[in-house]
Amino acid sequence: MRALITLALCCVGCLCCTGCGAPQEPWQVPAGFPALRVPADNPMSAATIELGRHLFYDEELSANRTQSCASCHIQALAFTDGRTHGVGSTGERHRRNTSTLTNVGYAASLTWANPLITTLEQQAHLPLFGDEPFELALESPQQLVERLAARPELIDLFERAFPDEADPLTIFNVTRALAAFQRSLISADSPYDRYLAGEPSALSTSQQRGLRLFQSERLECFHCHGGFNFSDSLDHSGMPTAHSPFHNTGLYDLTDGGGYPQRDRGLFEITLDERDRGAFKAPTLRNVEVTAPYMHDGSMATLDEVLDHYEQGGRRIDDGPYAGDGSGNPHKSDFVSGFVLTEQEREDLLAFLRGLTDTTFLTNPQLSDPQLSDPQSFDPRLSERGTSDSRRSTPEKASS
Amino acid sequence: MRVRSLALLLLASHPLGSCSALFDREVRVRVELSSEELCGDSGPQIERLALFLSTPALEATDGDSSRWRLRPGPTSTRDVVLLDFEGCEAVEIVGAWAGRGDPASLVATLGLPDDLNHSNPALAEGPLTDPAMHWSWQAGYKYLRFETLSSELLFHLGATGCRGLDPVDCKHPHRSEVSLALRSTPRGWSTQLFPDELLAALRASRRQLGDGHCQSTPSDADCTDLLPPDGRGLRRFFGSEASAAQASSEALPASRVGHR
Repeated sequence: MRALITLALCCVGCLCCTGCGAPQEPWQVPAGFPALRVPADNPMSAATIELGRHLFYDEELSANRTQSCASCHIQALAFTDGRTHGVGSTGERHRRNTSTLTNVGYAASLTWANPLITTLEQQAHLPLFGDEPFELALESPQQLVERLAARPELIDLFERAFPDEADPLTIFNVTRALAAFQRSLISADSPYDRYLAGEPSALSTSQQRGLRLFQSERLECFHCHGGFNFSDSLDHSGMPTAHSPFHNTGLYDLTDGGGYPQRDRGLFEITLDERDRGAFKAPTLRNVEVTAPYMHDGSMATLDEVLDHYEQGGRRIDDGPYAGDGSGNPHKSDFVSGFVLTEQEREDLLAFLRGLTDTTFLTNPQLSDPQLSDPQSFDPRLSERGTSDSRRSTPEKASS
Repeated sequence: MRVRSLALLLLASHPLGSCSALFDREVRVRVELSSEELCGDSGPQIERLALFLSTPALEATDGDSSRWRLRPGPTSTRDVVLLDFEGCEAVEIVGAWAGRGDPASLVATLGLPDDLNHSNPALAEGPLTDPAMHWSWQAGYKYLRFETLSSELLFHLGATGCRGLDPVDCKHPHRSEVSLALRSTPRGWSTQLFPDELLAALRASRRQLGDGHCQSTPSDADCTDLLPPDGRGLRRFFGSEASAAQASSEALPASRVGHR
């Protein structure tokens, strides 16, 4: 039945694209999701999203032409890379695990622990030009602009995306388009979403028990991974100000009193406030099943290990340079206090987390490399999604 | 009459109207590196040495100081210059000066004003377009970037301990006023910087507890001697406090580094 409805909606979308007279919204978020906060100087449009998609998958964006954004943000892995640490185009290893881009347009801050980077336009400078570490390792904005200028098909996309500009091929517009595409990476079609939308069988009985555990005060998960996006780092147009907290989850407690490894001290590196040692953003748990390994440093291979960590109220490391009992870290969040799970409860919780996997998002050709899918299609998915999701209840309310 | 008074008032109060005619003297200052180890016979041992100076002024021998309007170009705007010593090569700063007599020192801020420091690099112009100087993870710029080959030793000076968005408030702005003594040359004036002093400071910290990398964290052992206004290595880099080596080479006019 669901397949039939989807097929019917797809047909409606196609008909509208090809000829119905009513003007369509160029882009819209799913019903039930709040409107994104979009910078005034970068309004969303199908054309900017499409340009951003082309750029996102383009290896010309790395100095040695070996990597694109998608090299470390692979759609099938919810735009992560499956590695413990990302590896840049020069071979340099990143100190951190690659963040998912699932619903990244709702994140109050970008990267794992940086309250100063709040827009995707701003964040784009890190992988493009950053050298600590090198990622795409471009030498200069001019280098990129000159490369792109030699690509007539891209010039055309720039002109469509920024039709009022005499010379739209600028680094500013590169960052705007990349940001627009990333804002369109919205995951809202998991079994959990369908369950909220009035399809009780979308979550198994075990998953429903897991959901209740997840939302319980006993486990405390929802305090940091709450709301419709399962992350308390949240910003959208309905919020007076962004909510951008960071948490120390007791992964480490080195001998110097609450210390995290020198290689990565989290929020402290930005604020230089002692209380911020070891604090990181709580990432969204949507699609968490496919984003292993976990934690900011990729130091946990499985969700089972993650549950062990939270069950113990922190991680104990007995040997080696990082030996210490993270449960005693003085900067640890009060919500990481530990709990005891039965085997069945553990199974239920893991089953629920798997219920956040959105296969539509992971396989949608409209989010994939345009060279591998129809390059002419300008975003019918978004209208389809908006129409289809208009039948749903509000996940944010239901999960809070 | 009222119109004439108003016109005179406007002329007097407008910065260009009142001052532009006075900036009629082109002054060139050549900035050289004095370094036996980093720029000696074995070739440059520096991966990168570059720094931003802003709001420059020239101080005359009689003590009068007035703004030095820089010639805009790839490495400078009117108020900001990026001194980039690629391959240990000297750099020249050119600008218009309203002073009289001979300039005796170049006074400027090491660093950038807040509005520029936290501006969007995608919309930047001139020297601010250099991505190697953009400190993207600190949402600002590196005021000074010093790295030896393969980044074995590294010093990035910039604002740290920042919070907030508009405006960004930084606990450690790390801007400072520098005053570089000038010497007259046939082509204009010249001054010197002493990168061996940065090298010495980083080596000293590495011998203690550090790893030879200072990223402007005051509590970092590697930064002990480098951060303004009191970091001795930085002061010596600008020649404001003579090291034993400098003192033995030749007498230098007084230079300064102060808090700004």
